[in-house]
Parts: sequence; C-alpha cells; structure tokens
Amino acid sequence: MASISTGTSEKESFALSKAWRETLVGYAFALPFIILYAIFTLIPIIRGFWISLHKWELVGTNIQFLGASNYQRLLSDKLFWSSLEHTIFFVILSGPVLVVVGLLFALMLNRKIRGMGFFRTMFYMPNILSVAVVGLIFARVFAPDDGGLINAVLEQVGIESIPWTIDKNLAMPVIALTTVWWTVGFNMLVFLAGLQGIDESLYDAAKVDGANNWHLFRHITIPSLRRPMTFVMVLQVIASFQLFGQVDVITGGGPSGATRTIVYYIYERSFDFWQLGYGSAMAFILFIILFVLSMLQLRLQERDA
Amino acid sequence: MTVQKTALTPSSRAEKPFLQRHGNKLYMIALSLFTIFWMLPIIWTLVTSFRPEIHIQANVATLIPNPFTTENWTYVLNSSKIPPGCSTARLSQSHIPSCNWPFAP
Repeated sequence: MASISTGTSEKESFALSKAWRETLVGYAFALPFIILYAIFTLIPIIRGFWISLHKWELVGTNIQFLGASNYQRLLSDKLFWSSLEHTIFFVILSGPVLVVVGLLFALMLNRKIRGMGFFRTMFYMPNILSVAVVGLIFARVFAPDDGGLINAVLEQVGIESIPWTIDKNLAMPVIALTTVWWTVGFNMLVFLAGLQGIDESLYDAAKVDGANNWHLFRHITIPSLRRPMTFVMVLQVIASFQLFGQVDVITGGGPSGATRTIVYYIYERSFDFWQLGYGSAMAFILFIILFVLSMLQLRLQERDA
Repeated sequence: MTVQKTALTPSSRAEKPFLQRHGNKLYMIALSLFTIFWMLPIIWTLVTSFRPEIHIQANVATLIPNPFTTENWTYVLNSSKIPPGCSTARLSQSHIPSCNWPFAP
C-alpha cells in the first residue's frame, strides 16, 4: 500500500516538474521580448506615472512632489474638458465614416477584373504618406483664400470662397476629412483581406436558395466580417483619440482652440509651457479612457458573436 | 457540334442586355474616374510643383501648370542642403544665421 502511494506521488512530482520545465522553457524563449518590452514600454509608462505625481519642468529641473494634485487640477481645467470634447467630436465625426468608407472601398475593389491591383494600390497610397505631407497638401486644398483647390473650384461655379480652416464650425470636419482620405486605405485593406477569406460556396448556396445581392451582403458578408470589423473599430477609436499631427500642421489647434484635441493639449502643456508633470497626468487619463473604451468594445463584440 | 456553337453564340450575345455585355468596361471607367477624383490632392500637389514659386505665392489655384517650370525640382535636387545641426524647428525660427533659408548650394 505504502509502495503504491509512493509510486503515485513520484509520478505526480515528475509530471509537475515536467510542467514546470516546459513553463520555464516557454519563459526563456519569451525573455528577450519581455526584456525589450520592459525597457522600452513598461519602464517609460511607470516613469510617466511617477512624473505625473510631480511638478516637473521639461528639462527635469525644479522637481517637487505633488501627489495627486495634477489629477485634481485636471478636474477644474476648462481647456482639458474642452479638448476632450473636441476629441470625442472628432471620433464621432471620423470613426463611422472611416469604417463605412473602408468597407465600401473594399467591396468596390473586391472584383476579379484585370487591373484591380492598380486601383487597390492607388486607394492605399495616401496611407504611405507622412502626416506632415498630408497636412501640407490639405492645408492648401482647404486654404481659406482663393489659392485653395476647393475654393478655386467653387469660384468657377460661382460660389463664394468658404473659410474652411478659419471657421470654428468647419475646421474639425476638415481635419476629419483629411484623416479619412489619409487612413481609409488601411481599413480597406483589412476588409479586403476579410472579404477574400469568405468561402465562395456560401454565396453559391444562398443564390440557389433565391437570395438577392442585399441578402448575400446582409446575411453572409457582414457576419463574416465581424472580426475585421472589431479590429478596425478598436484601432480606429484608439488612433482617433490620439489625433495630433493633422491638427498641428493644418490648424495649429485653432481657430480659437476649436481643433485643440487632448493630445495637442498634452503637447502644449508639456512642451510649450514646460509642465511635464501636468502633461503626464493628462496622458494617464487618456490612457485610462482608451483602455476602458477598448475593453468595452471587445466585450460588446464578443457578446454579439 | 461546331456548327451548333457558332450558331448559338451571336444570338445569345444579342439576348444579353447592354449592362451585362459591357458591365466590366463601364465599371472600370467609373472606377478610373473615381480614382482620379480620390487622387486629386496628390495630382494637384504634383502640378503645383511644376509652377513657378511666384505664381504659387500669388494664391491662384490651377490644374494646368502655366508657365511650366522644373525650377522647384532642380532646387530640391541640387541646392536645398540643410546644414548640419539645423532642425526643422530651427528653420522655422531662423534666428541662427547658418540655418536661414535659402541655404547656400
């Protein structure tokens, strides 16, 4: 009896040690990545949080521990709330358009016709340009004077020039339009990959059952694109909340702060006013907002699936 | 068999509606036009690069570079050497004499 129990425990301990060995080998393989991730991501995040608890000037001078004061100050900072409002407005304005237009472009280019590769390249091309180039192009396209492309066209048809980038109500739509033109190619590519992964036999079977094009789209294409859709939407929300370059180049946060987004405000506080501690506190709030939103989106999509 | 095929093909073609026969061609034409529209900002920027600087500064938008010049391209390729130590931030402030625009070739 005693010998049997010893045998079982030996087997158990061997199995346990094997599992441990496998775990350790797994960690050993992941170690190079973990070290680099810690050095270049985790430590800067922790350092950023540490800075957010201080009064910290840009060059690291005049450092004072403030505790949660920077976070308390945020609550009463009107510019912070207005920049958050502008950012949310931009997300609402550009997010759905980017998803819908990306899907439309993918559907439009998902045909087996010769030369389709050329058109796919053309629609993806804006995506390879840097934000500075895109910003400069659209600053000229939407220039409020007669030198702008849109105003020149409007003038030709007898419509007065529109002050695109200097009108408080139009500046943010211009930024959104620029962003759509610049980044929709990526969404198109993701949807295109999703569309090409759909089994053709599903469409054939549905056609035999008498389904029309709308039925095929509604009951086969859309459900099959659920995963790419989640991917695009999560990335889109994160990217839209981080809007900075287009604003910096086209409007500089104006007119009257109408396009001052949260990242632009973080930049202003940190690098124009040298308030790195306060800027870091805002960056952490943005991180929490994005984390919660991403989790929420993923949960909702999982529940739907 | 061959006779049957040749006899059927023209009639079946005639029965097909216009859109079905030329659908792909029409689709490609529409797609090409939309691509040109989508690429217009880049095309316009390219056209602008072939216009003289003085015309661009005069704030007159055009899709035809008249007069046509390659002076901007020549300048970029030959003479726009940014001196070492001059960042774009310094360029915009241009308070450092060696960083003042235009640079010496």
